Amino acid sequence: MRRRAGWVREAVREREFREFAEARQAHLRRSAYLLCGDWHQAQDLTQTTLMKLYAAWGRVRRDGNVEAYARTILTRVFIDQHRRGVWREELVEAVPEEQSAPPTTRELRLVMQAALMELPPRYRAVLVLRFWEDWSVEQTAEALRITPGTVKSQSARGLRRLRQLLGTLAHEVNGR
Amino acid sequence: MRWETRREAEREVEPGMGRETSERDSAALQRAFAEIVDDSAAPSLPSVTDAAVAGGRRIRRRRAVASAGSALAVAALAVTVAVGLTGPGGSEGRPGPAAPPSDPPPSATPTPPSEVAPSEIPTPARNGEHSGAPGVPSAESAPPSPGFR
Repeated sequence: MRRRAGWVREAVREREFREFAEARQAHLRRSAYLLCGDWHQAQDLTQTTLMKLYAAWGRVRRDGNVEAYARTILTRVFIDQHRRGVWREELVEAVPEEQSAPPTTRELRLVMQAALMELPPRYRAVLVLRFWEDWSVEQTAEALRITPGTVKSQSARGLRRLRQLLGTLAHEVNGR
Repeated sequence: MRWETRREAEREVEPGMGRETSERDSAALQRAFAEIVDDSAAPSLPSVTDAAVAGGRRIRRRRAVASAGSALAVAALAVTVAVGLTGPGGSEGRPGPAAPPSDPPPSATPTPPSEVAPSEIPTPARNGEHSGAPGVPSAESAPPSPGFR
């Protein structure tokens, strides 16, 4: 009888998790892409995040804010993997040809993305949480386990660096 | 957040680092992020739900095994400590600490405090030394023993 109750609980737990994962994994993947700049790495990050989330699903569900918890895991996993050097830059066999056409929306998007990827991972994480996820300074500080003061300073530094990079890159694109 | 020229970008650099970011910056950055993750650029990737469930189960199983192992280790340690403290025969077979022979046996009723103030413990006097302690006879003042007469 007790065993049967355990199975039922497990089945309910899995069903709830699957519903959440199916509904939210696209958004999580997009956030992961902003952090790492590669869709396949973003896919791996999303899978690791959901895996950890499922392992703690009972507690997280009881606590309430599943969405915020998932984002926190995602950001921490990203920073942790970066620190351990899991991701390395891959060399490409051929350098893509330079385009002489005027900058398009796609090109500007690439410029923006290139500038974002130039930032240190922690600054990137702060900017993504603050401006993409629209989190407060306090929420961001809690997720990244840093002080609100550090969030403010890293956010300001990140923005300033992003502007400088964008200025340089946009200048290069326009000059072509 | 599109800055067409470097000058335009530099003009917008915040002078103070701790200053709150303006609404305009926030909106521009959000727009830029949305452009980066534009769905059209994303390749069609399969769902990771099944893999996540399998991985999550593995993590939970590993955790359960680890916690069972540590509980077992704690129990084993507790048993070892208990056996070590009680010894092979238990507390009954082991003699208690021996009391010094001069000590009186412990009485059940507390003894009333003595009316006489505690005196100093008499110490034997050495040769040529006068102890000066009351009640301790020195070599000179001591009554001669009957054998000397």
